[in-house]
Amino acid sequence: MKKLFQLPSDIGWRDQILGATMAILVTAWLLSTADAIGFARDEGFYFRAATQYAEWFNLLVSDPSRAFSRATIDRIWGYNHEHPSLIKSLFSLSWLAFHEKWKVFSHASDAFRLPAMALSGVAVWVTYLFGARVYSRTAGLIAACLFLLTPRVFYHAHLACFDLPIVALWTLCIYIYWRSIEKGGLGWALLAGVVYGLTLDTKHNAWILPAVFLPHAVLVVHRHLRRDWKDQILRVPTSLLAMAIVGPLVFWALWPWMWHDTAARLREYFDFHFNHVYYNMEFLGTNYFDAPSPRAYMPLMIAATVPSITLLLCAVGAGQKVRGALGWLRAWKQNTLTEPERPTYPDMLFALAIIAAISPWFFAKTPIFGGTKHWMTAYPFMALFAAHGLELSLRALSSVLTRWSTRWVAVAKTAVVAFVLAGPLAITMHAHPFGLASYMPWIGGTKGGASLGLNRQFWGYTSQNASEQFLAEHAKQGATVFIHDTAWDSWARMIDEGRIRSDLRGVGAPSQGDYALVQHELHMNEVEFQMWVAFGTRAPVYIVTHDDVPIVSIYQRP
Amino acid sequence: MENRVNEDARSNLGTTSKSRFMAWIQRWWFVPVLLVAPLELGLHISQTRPVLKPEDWTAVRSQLEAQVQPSDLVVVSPSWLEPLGRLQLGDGLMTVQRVARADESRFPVAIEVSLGSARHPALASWHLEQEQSWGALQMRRLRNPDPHPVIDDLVSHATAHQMDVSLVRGEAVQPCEWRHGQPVTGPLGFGPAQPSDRYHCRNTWVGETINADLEYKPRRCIHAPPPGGQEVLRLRWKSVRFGTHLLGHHALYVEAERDRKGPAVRIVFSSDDETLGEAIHEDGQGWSSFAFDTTSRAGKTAELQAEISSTRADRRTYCFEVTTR
Repeated sequence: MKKLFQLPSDIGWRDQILGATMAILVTAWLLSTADAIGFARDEGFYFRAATQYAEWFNLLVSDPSRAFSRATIDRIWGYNHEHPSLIKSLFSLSWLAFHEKWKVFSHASDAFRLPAMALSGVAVWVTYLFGARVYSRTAGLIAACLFLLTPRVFYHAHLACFDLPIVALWTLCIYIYWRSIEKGGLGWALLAGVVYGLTLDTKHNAWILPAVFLPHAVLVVHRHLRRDWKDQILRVPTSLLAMAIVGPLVFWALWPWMWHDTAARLREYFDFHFNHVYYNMEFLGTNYFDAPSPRAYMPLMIAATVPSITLLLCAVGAGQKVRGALGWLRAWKQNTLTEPERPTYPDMLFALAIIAAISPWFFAKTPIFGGTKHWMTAYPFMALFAAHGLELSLRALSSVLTRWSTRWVAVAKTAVVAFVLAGPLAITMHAHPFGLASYMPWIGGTKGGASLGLNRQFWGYTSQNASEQFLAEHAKQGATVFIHDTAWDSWARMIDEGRIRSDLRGVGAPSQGDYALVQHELHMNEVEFQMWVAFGTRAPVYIVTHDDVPIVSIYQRP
Repeated sequence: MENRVNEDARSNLGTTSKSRFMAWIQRWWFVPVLLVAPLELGLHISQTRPVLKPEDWTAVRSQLEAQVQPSDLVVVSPSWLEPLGRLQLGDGLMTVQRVARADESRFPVAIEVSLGSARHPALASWHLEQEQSWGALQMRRLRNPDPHPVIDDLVSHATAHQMDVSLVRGEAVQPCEWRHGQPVTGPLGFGPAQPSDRYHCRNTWVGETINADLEYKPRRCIHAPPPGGQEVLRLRWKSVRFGTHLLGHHALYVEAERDRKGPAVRIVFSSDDETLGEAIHEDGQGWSSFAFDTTSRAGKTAELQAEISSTRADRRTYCFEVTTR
């Protein structure tokens, strides 16, 4: 029995169980904290899509021939067809199973949100495995924690959206590809193809992944390049071929909307994302609504929203690897390189995963409206470098504590790890549920972010906080409320689930409301000014704040 | 020879101290890295303590109510604190003339309520006369070094009794009708709210509103969209007290001018059939000022007319304010 719990040096099934346990704990944590976050704008659309797609899944069982007919597919899958189907299908199936059939959740939203939360757990799991295999189990655990303990990751992990699912699938896909390189064989290659297909069917970030795999694959086969060139052989990892062939097939097979008129619909899909509308986003006091986007946005926002200790340790870990890479290059040039039989260059893979995830924001044409969520795919890999950086720091600590007993050195190291995790944990917990308003201490926290003119929220998810803190108690029976940026479907679900008093009625213009909400974003000021005219007052009756910074103002008709 | 030996020794000493320093760095580099963890945690704890207490706001409000003159400006800094300032200080202190002001030059004195040392950039050159604090809130009395007091604020005169509005095409004059109704508002992108009292001019309206300028700042102004083509929107104030200058500002609603695709809007001021000056607003200029010399009319009371025109009418959500000084 004792042996069962002893971890052998090789990573194996026990680590999978450890990773799975972490995934379950993360999912449970997210579920237990989900009630505090109101429904974001996009969630409203995805709730509707999931409910609509459920009709198709029911038809698939009851009347398959009708389910596969073009008319049915176009009617049902036409809604929100600008995004692939996998994650919305999971929302749908989760709702059908856990809310409609087995009634595990009394609230539909918990069932809708569950797949994204579970995939957030998967992201933690895979991050652990990657860290454990490449560095050490401790590094894997630390990386998993540092990844999750980022306020914006924690916020987005709650939502029935695609942002954490794509982080999970992106990380998993890179992991499976790396394992396929490490282990070889058709099975791993096919698995890489399937997982790449699932990633494509999650979010369009997946189309960037070849920028990770291709340079890495060149590195993997570099030793043979000269000879292969002479022999006119093109050596390509099998997994790459599988991803190129199986990936798109899985993408197509799982997305019914693409089954008919495929070429035209694919073109429409790419057009939509290549020419995406620029929504408003504040950065350093300026509202950006069109190209060119500010090039400083991505680096500054990463620095401002990811715990500084995580970033610093990431720099330490990555810096050491860069030094290693320079040494490798020198040896390669001098032809003195000695390498293992099957080199897999995981650090290079991590670096490529980060660079590919963030590089679109070096281009002025890339919109910035999503805040940090669009490049969160880089974060597991930054956390992995950070965990390696912490390991190097702990090693350096051990080297100066030569007079200490092994036990006290272990105590000191544990204390350091606890301190490193305590800051990100405290910041992440404190930010909830206002994760989008959270900024790191070196920026001055939420107040510092507001003073610098950085965005405090988007998607209008804070109507629930306005209701909890004021409307529930003070609004008269049947009052009308201007719901501002909250989507109608999100508002309706908050009413359905008792998050907002059921007698309150949403309206679409401030002057139609007994109350009017302003979710503070720079470009939303104009709506507040309308309220001053309509209600004849500049004074809200209540303001939801986070660290004294206004998040939602509530106006009342005099 | 001796010198050379000394030089070598010094050089060796330098190399040794450099390598010692490098060895020291290599041994202790992790300390500053790891110290960031408790530093970050400590900063987080100190930054997240609530600092704004209701009793401090109450004290500030009482002090302001006792001290502030109608001609004084009241501002709250930093700008993100202003909604809380409006909530705590109320409409009596946070009047529309102060909150949605056209500029600061008209105010001889400003009272700045701020969180800590935050300062309003427009008041940076004003002279500090008094400073008090309640908890984290500070209150500063600042004197304008170069005030330009207002004689007549023509936005306040944009009423049925004091202003006529008409659409003019050549000799044809079509008067607009003053109506009292409900204010009209909309979601994001609607533009400035239509006040309950306004002139109706065919398919548009003229009246006092608050416009979001290119920087999303509130500007109290007269919504006066040009009708387009050869037609002109004419506003005529019956009785205006003149000073040495006519000073005004104008802009379009932010979403109407931020794309910089619309034609310019022209405003021409005249009095007693004499043109005082004209200003042109191009998209992208935001809330910009214009000034005309009226020294010859200083001290007199007369009518004032503004004519607004543009080649096209669509999305020309023009708004202006004008004062005599």
